[in-house]
Amino acid sequence: MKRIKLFVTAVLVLVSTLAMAQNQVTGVVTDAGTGEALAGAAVQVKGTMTGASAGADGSYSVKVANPQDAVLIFSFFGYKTVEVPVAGKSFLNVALETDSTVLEETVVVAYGTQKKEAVTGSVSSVKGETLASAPVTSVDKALSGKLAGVAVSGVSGQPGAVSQIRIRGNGSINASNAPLWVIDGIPVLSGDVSTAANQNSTLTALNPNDIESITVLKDAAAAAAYGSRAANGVILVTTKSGKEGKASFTLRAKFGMNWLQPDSGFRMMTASELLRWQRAAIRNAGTDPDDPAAGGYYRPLSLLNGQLYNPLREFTRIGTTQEYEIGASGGNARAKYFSSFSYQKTQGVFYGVDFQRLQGRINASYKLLKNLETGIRFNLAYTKQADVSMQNLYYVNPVWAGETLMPWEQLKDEEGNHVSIEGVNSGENPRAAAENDDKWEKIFHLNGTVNLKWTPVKGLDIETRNSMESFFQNSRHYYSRKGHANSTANQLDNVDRQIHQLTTSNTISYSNIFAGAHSFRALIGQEAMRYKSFYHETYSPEVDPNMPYHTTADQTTTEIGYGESAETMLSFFAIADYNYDNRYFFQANFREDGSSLFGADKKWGSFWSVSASWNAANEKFLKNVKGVDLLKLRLSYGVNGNNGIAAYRAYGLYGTASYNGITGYLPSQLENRVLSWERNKTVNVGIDFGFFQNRLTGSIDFYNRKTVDLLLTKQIPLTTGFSSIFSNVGSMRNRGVEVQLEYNIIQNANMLWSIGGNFAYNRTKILDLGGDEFLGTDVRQVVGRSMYSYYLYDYYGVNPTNGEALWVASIDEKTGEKTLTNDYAKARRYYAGSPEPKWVGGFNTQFAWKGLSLSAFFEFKAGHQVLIWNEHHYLESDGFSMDMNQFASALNYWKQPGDTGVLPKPVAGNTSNSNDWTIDRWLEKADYLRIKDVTLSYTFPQALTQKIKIQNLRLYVSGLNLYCFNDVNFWDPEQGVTGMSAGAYPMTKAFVGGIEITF
Amino acid sequence: MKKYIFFTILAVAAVFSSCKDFLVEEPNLAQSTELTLSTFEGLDKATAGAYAPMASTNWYGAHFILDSEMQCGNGKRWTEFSKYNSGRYTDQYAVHYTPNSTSPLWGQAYFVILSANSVLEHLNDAGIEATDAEKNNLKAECLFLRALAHFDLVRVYAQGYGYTADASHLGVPYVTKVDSEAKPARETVATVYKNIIDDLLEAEKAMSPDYQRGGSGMKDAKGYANIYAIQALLARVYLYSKDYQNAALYAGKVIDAKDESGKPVYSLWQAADFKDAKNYTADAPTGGEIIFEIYNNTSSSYGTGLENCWGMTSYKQYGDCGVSKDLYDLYEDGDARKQLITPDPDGNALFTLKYAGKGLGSVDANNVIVLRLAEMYLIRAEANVTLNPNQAVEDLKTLATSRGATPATASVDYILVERRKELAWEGHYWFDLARLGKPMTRTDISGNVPTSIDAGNYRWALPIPDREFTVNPNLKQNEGYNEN
Repeated sequence: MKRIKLFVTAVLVLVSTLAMAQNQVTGVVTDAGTGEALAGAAVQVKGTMTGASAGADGSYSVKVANPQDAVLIFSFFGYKTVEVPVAGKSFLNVALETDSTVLEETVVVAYGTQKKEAVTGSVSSVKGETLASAPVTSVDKALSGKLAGVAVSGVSGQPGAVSQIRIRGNGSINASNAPLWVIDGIPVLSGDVSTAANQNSTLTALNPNDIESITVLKDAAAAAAYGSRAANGVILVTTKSGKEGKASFTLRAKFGMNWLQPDSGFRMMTASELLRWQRAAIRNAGTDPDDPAAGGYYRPLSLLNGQLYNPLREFTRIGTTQEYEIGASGGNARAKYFSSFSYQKTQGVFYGVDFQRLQGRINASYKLLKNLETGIRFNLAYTKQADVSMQNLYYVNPVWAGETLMPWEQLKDEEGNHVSIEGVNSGENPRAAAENDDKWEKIFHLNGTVNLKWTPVKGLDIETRNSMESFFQNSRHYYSRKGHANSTANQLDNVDRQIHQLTTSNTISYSNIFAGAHSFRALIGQEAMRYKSFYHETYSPEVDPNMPYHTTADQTTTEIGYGESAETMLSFFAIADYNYDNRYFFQANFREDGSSLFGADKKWGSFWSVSASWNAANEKFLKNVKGVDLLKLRLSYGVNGNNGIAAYRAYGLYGTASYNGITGYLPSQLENRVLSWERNKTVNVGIDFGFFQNRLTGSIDFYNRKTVDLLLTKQIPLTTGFSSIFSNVGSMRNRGVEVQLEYNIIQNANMLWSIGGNFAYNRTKILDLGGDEFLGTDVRQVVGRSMYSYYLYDYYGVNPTNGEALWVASIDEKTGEKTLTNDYAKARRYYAGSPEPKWVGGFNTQFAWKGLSLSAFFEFKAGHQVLIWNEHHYLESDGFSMDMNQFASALNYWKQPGDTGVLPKPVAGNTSNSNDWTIDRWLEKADYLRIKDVTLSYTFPQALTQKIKIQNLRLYVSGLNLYCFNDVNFWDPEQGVTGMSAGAYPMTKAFVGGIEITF
Repeated sequence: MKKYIFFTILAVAAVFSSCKDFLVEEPNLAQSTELTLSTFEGLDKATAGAYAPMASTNWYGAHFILDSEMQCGNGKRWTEFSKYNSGRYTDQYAVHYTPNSTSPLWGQAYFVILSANSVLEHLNDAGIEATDAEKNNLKAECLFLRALAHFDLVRVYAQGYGYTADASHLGVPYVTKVDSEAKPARETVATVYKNIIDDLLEAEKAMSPDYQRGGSGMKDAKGYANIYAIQALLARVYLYSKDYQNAALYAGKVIDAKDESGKPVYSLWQAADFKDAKNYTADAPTGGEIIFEIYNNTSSSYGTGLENCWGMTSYKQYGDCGVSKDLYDLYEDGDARKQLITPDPDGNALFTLKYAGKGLGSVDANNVIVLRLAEMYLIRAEANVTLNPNQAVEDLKTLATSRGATPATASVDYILVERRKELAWEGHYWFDLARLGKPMTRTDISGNVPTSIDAGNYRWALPIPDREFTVNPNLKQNEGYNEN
């Protein structure tokens, strides 16, 4: 700050000696360090819309209405903005200083922040504002495609659903593959906590607008400080803090709508298409569809004359989103605060699906004494998730019922109300269920951290952070007879669950600079965590529909359930950083973790990493080379752990066994006293660069991540009494490369055009399964292959002469010649594909002109397959499903000899297994490119808004998931990490518009 | 300043001192092994539960019994009637086993051994509140179960005792410890028998003479081992290992057993008891011959389902395990035991009625007799052929009289036939042939199955399951089978 003032004063002295002219002010804008002209620098007359930009030689010319009072604002990307009073002069030369804050950008890392330049591990970070505009209910959804090597996939598009995040591939078979989420320094719970709802992500409690930044720690060195649970990477979320200054308030409002629309041309058959197809199938089975004696196969054309429905249209609607938020922040020398309060309501595209969130946050800090500071970060959220059962082929599932119901089946009563009718869809009408049932889940989620930091001497920080995270869940599933024609009773099921996690994290760190160039930091710390969850479930098979509570049930029939789980962890760790002259950087981490999940003899695991980097740009030989701002080589190696398994797997357990009328005990699980941590050993080599005043920045990383001591069920001699024991055997590997690039094509005062992108290539290979060749049945883990291999029967195609399905029985190894068969039982089975994308990434472009900004963001995955076998089995069934609608693609069937490249001819009651589940006919290439987000925004000029005391006023509209280029014959190519889903809520498209006011 | 340091030290001290317990989270809802075995009640229930897996179709519930009967010539697959050819028990009938398709007893028996060892290892832990007598009774039960399991294992997976002069050929691993890391080698048959006898003798010593497991809800007292079950098994094991002195002694202990009022504890069935096989189909028999049996009904954890002894031997279900004419023709007319073999309603194929079921419904069940009095008479007779021929003649006469049959001559060969007639379909004849080193011969067969197997042929010892060799390098496969 002082330097800026000095500089401004110097400029003032300089320009005051050159004073003269009246209206026109001219001059040259140069770089203060090099004296070079700054082409494109912006000059603006303060408080007006008048401005100009400097030419190629740095010269500018601008008209000033009142030369005595006017102030010129000079700005240029990468330089500090200065305001210079004209003071009656007509000639003003200005030298701009480079803005070191741009170059010395800091990133949040484990247990602290680091200058970006000093980071030795592999990290990616993203600023909060790039996440906040998307109308998502949880922030994990917004990370998709933003960070190199971070693959986000969803199964469900339901508001509140979880995402599956994989950083550098799958590294485990039985233990968790999900990264650790750390919010403001405290590991938090992540994943699905639903009880009655289809899915409920813990992260819905977090308001994306509260996020300052997200950093993803990818390699062992970066993550090692969280060693214990860092094997799958760490996602560090930092929420906003207040800044010293006047209180500022932010108001946000957002409105949107979402709808269902597949982009691959996928659709169901129309009534006439379906009837045509069915009649063909019935004729192929040798029956006359016009013969009333054909029973179930009597399908006269007159079916089309009755009331017809489009069931999908009946069960879906245009969903809506609304979100309101008010925030306040500010502070003084002693106290700082940031607070927000928000409400969001999203109505899903299916009737009955609703999500609401009420959320508040306070982040405050207070200096108790000169060297003692305390703070609190507290987030409180209430969410209510209502839905109907999905994610499986339930009759009541609206997407499945919408796909399967035949258009001539009746859905409404005479008054036009949706009703469930016996005999139609097994008596289920999803919309009637949505209207008559109660199926919801409420969660009160509290997450608070209190910290106390004591700085007895400069450079020495002693800090304790203590946090509590609690979920109070209450769910109700009232299953009404009215909503289900086949139901015999009004059933009620309630679940009350609590989850509590207490964490204490205590650190002592010391940093100092010796002899000018030796910079040093050491940190030691201790952490302890206790997790406990329990639930009570109450189920009554029959309650009074007028008073649908357990009190009206026959108490002798009411069933109760109870479950609980507990886990503890204790850790000690140390971090040491050393940096010489901003050229050589070293870091070492060590961490000792104990977990209650493991065997009595092996609860403790040691994790560590070493890393180094060299910033060549700061070497003498490059220091004066123009255009090279950052050129850093990084190298790291480390070992991290994974304890993502269920509780009590190490214990020997007894179950019950009935014999001779008496219930005795029998061993049910062998004790494994040496069950211990799964370990990841990661080597990372990376390079970070910034060229041309950092107009081109990026990084490239290569890694080899090997998982050893995989937690698997190991085969053991039966003489032990058991055939297997859960233990540490086996290994697997992930290798890949990640590239992240950003380039500002145009950057000047009025205009900015930037492009950026990232992609990652990853291959997973299972090396050892503890003696087994493979695990699993249809989706297997196979030694020498990747995490998931589809093991399928080899469908060849249709026999052009008779329209029957043909199978490959065998392939001659030498000639490659295929032996075909029409007998499914003789078909060969092989490893047909895998759902793991080889390529994952995204790219974006932003164009800004004055206050107007247009940005677009694309996301892609490639090199993988999906297997939507459930839906295809029934809905491209070759006649197997005669009481279900079919995919429109099923119309392309064999009709006459010579037809090839078509589906087998439909035969009513198809028994040929041509539509079996485990066949490669359903395997589809899942490559896709998605237009994830296009946002147009306008920020009103401050000069204008300040007149009404508004600092910032921004309007925007966004389109989300506007189009997805793909060839998958289904709603969406995203089918989760296993590439298989059934009856999932499809991904939706959305438009939102919003306004943001800061005053 | 001092205050902060004080609190810091206090906090760190608190953390360290609570370290050890902090990382222990017990499963409250499942019984941890440690907890189960830390109270007498838990140990008692763990002992009661240890009987359960013996009812499995892998053991007494079907395979252990039926495999041996199909192998030895007592059984026949009446394949000319397709309704009795479900494809089950073909390999057993052909005595064609491979390491990938062999008797399922291996895993089942060692599971019971684990269950018994788990109790035995903790009975004397401090804090178990029970009298010495109570503890000793559990100990005896578990030793009995362990001995019985090993005995059945060594009979199935090893050559008969007399295969080598000193029984030094390969037996089975004798497991007496709970150890999930153990990769035990096979003991010699002699060692296995010695361990079995040691366990049984210790059990005999430990068990109170009047001990009988009970409890509310118990169906069948004979479903649990008592002192006579231990002695009866000892008699059989001694006979197998050719210790005739002790075989006769222990068989006598059971035959002469008297209750408090001086009445014999067990008495031979009489001809009338065989009518409608009611001696074999009672739910909870009292009195009579049965010393120890495996109880079964449709609510048992093991042994339910259609593939149990009932389903396999009944013409009402699969009927793959029929009776050969070789066996049927052994019975003279008037022999009460002949009633236990019946033709099907069409009068074509023969079936045993020893597993005719308890009338429980479409899925029926029956108890499986392990030890009974008639066998004790036969053991004593065989043991006394040279030691005390008069006693042998007397015992054979007693038995024959109760069956309405002509007494057998007191020689090993004739007693073998008598054993076959008496104990048919109870899992004896194949093992009798094996221990005596006699060939198996059969004439009434169906399909392409061997009519004889010479003594000492590799087939007398079944292959150990293939998977064991991939996880236990110390194990050796029986001769004649591939070892991976």
